[in-house]
Amino acid sequence: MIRATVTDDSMKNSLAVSAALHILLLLFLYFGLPHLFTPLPSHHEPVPFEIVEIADLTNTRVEKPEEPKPPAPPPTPAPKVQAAPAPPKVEEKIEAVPLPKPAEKPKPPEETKPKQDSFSKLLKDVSKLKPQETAKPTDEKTDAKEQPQEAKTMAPALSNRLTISEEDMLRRQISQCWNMPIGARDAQNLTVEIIIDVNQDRTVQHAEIVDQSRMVTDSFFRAAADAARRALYNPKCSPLALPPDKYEEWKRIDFTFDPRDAL
Amino acid sequence: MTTTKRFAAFFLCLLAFAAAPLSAAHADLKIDITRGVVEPIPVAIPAFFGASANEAQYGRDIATVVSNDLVRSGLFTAIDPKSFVQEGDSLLTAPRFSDWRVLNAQALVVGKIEAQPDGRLKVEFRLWDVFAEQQMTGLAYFTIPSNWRRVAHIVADAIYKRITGEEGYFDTRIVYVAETGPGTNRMKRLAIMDQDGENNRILSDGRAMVLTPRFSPTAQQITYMAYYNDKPRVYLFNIDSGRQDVLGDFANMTFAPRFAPDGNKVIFSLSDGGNSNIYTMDLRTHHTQQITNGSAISTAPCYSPDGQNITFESDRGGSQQIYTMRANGSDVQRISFGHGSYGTPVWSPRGDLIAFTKPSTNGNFYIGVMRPDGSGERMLAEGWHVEGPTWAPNGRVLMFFKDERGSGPKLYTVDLTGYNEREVPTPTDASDPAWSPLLP
Repeated sequence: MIRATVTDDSMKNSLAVSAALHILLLLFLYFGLPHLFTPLPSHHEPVPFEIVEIADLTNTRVEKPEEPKPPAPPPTPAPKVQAAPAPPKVEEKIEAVPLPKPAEKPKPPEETKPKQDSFSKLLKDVSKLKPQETAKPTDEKTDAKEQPQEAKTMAPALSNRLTISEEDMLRRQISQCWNMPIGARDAQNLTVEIIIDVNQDRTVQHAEIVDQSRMVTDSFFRAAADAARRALYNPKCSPLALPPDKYEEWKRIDFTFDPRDAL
Repeated sequence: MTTTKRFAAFFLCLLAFAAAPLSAAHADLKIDITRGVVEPIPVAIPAFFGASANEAQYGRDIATVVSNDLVRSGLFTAIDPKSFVQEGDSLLTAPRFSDWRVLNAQALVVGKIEAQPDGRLKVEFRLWDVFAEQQMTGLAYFTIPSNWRRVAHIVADAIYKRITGEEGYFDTRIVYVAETGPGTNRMKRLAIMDQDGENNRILSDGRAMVLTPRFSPTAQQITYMAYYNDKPRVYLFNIDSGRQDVLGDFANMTFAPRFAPDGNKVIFSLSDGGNSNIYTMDLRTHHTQQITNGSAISTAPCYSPDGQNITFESDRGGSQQIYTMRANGSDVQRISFGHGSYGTPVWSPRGDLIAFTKPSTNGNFYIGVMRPDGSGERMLAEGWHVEGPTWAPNGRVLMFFKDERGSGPKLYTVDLTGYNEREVPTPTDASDPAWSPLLP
């Protein structure tokens, strides 16, 4: 019995040593031998090659201005006048009862970011803007909906990453669908981060607002986050302007909606 | 489990652990969106469902009022009901979101009216995010049928709040001065209406000329000034009870007082010879306290919403400008430094802006706003004669009156972004509006 235990112990020890050595070997195989005394060779980012790829595309595209939405005509209810001064009636107090929520998809969380003073440039000043009457898209780059095919580069890709032009195309597409929260209190502090999973057909599979806790506590943030998510789900912006051959690069996208630098 | 098996399991775990970084190493694509559009949100509001003809009529009326409220705010557009693809009972159980998306509806309001055995109405609604296919809010209200219009405003407020984050302002009223008759014999009476121009009522007879009504921020109570036989008198009027009290005879008062945020005090100015100073009066004790003491004109005072500060106009620096000071009269700061003069400052209920009036360089007048430190000055409205700005209780919309060279004064609203100026319909000429707080 004692002998058996001793054998067991020695077996365990050798197994442990063997396992440790195997781990070490695996780590060396995976990470390579450590360079303890010589500095690592500097690593060159492949960024310069991307710049070459831009030449295959052009940022110049036909501008298809969005139709400005005319403000809805004011309702013209026929006001009643009572000739005699009527004693004002005490109106019944009306209490709200929350309805039970139907089964629904879980809501993704969002994150907000602060805005700066430049944001106020979006606001109208009649002393400066005489002829402008209706709200205009704030983005001068109100191009037509990007055709995703345009994003496809014809030359063989040097890297599989999205080029700056391709990212810009997506950015401009979503900008046309994002209704910015101007006029809201502290609107400059309403930056929202949303992570989306994208289907292979470039439609949004799922959009998750990152800062879920603020969704619960801050009604302004919740409204801004919902508005940002509506931009991503908007049929006007579907499918997303993405190069179909780079699915691995865009199957998950981290969007930040930041109104601070508007204009 | 034998030692060998345990080791094998350990080894496999180790392999899995070592392989994990390979898949996680893929970084997400990061995109910053820093530009967008500013346009109204398309919303679909089908008639609320009612099983009986009577309920269905209320359902149509309520949906119309809700739709008009939201559209008038400028932040929403209503989708034409003629294009609706789904109505009635089936909407309540399961909206077909793909059909509503085709209409470009971003929000969908679905409601139902049910007459209760006790004679009241149950009005319920759900607000849906059409793109995300999620309910944003759902509420029910019980009320007497004659109150249907108020319920509609309350529903509109709930939708407005959920989508914009701000409190609504539709369940509110406006008091104003209704003007009739020729210029030589102008009759100015006190009138009240819902914020959408409905339920207009005249509150005073024509014997006294009524001026500058002001709403209490906490109660359905107003102050106003009335001239009886050329003598000015300040009244306190409770709209719900109809009770009217005389606050006092102030021969040297030019505007009606404004309430302090707690509703227990009013602030006003009294002229004395060529000067004018600011005073407060406790409404319970009628005790008066002088706040400013100088040899200049200090007038048109208005409290900040926290009651800690006061803004007013004064010519102490040589021209009429806007100043702020602590509620006790200390720490006086001039905040308006633009070209020309500034007057009648009114602090926003949300505290971030002060509205004012100002003559323009071309002989017109502006209604403008600036921050309490004087920065961010913008002009929101212009006219031959624009005056009397009053804030909606959420601080998002301003109402004022505008007289375009002899056409007679009319009431207008404008969003604080400077967009969406609209006339508020009144049966007569109208001036000096005052916006109520949300109804209790």
